[in-house]
Amino acid sequence: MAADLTIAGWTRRQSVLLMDDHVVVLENEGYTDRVHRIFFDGIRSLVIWKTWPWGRMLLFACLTGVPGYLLFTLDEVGQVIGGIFLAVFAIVELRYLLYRKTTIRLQDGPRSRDFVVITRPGKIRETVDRLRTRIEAVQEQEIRRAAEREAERAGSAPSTPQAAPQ
Amino acid sequence: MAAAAPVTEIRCPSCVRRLEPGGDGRVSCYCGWSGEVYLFRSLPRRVDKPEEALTDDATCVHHPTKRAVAVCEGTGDFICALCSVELDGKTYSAQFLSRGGKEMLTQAFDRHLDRPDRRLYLCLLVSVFFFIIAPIAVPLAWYYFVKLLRLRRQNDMAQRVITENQTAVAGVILVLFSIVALILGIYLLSRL
Repeated sequence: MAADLTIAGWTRRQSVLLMDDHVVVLENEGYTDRVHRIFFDGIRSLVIWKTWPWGRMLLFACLTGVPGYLLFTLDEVGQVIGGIFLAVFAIVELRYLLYRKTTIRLQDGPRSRDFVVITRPGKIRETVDRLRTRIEAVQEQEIRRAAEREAERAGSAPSTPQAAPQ
Repeated sequence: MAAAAPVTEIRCPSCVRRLEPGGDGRVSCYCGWSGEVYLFRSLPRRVDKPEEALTDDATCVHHPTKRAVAVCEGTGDFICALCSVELDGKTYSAQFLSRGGKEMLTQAFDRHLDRPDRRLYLCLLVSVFFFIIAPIAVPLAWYYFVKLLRLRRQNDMAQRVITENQTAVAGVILVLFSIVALILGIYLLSRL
């Protein structure tokens, strides 16, 4: 299984992995990946919204659309190369228009972490659903453990500690 | 200890105004922003303070005046709240993790994940452009491939990030490259 989400930023690439009780964000840095962990027990909210990726669309138009058009107006060879450029331009711009830019914000206490992705809505929905389920499960478990600890302290606390059940 | 309070408000990502969604689902702001919101019940992070041990209490092996609250999975010793570290659902003492369990600790709190697959491809790329250093670059690429296999075996995160298919592709490319480099090398040597 590869990364659950891949975020291609302007200057760096990030991979997001959903673990059982935390999210791992890997920032690609040459020969190593920097690891960031966000634990589910402290997450307060999950916000998702979509915007138009105008910046990327404009940049890609400048890099492929404009040169492709200029090449297309030249001779036959230019038409072939320009055609390839324009085809790539059309496919990528269509992808941007269909998928749009989705931002997933995880609020972890006072800090928030944003993941900006451009991918299939189905994949985003699936990842968000799994994320929600795991966050809820971890927080329920933590609440139950906290209640047990409180009950233990308030009631007859054993003088000998017991190993955690397997 | 503070109870888990359900979160009732968020800040609009666009204008930073407070929004009260009233539940999970679609939310809009006056500024025009709209999105989906899911609220959770997070517990405030607790800071465990070790309690003083009473006469009948079991005491921590590293802090004899503190009450023991857990048993270290690595050594079996009684430990206090200060010494206990939770890792993958099990409790260990900080002393065990800093000595015998260092490997476990390093993996759990890794700040960097090594990527020998990228170094492998770099070696192959360099030997394509500078064929003269292929006798060094290709064995080095094999070393990184072995390192990659070992890393995948030891590290769960590496196993997920570098999939079986990617490892297989790297292996196939490396074998093909080595065969081509060997044939070219023999051919060039025979011409000298």
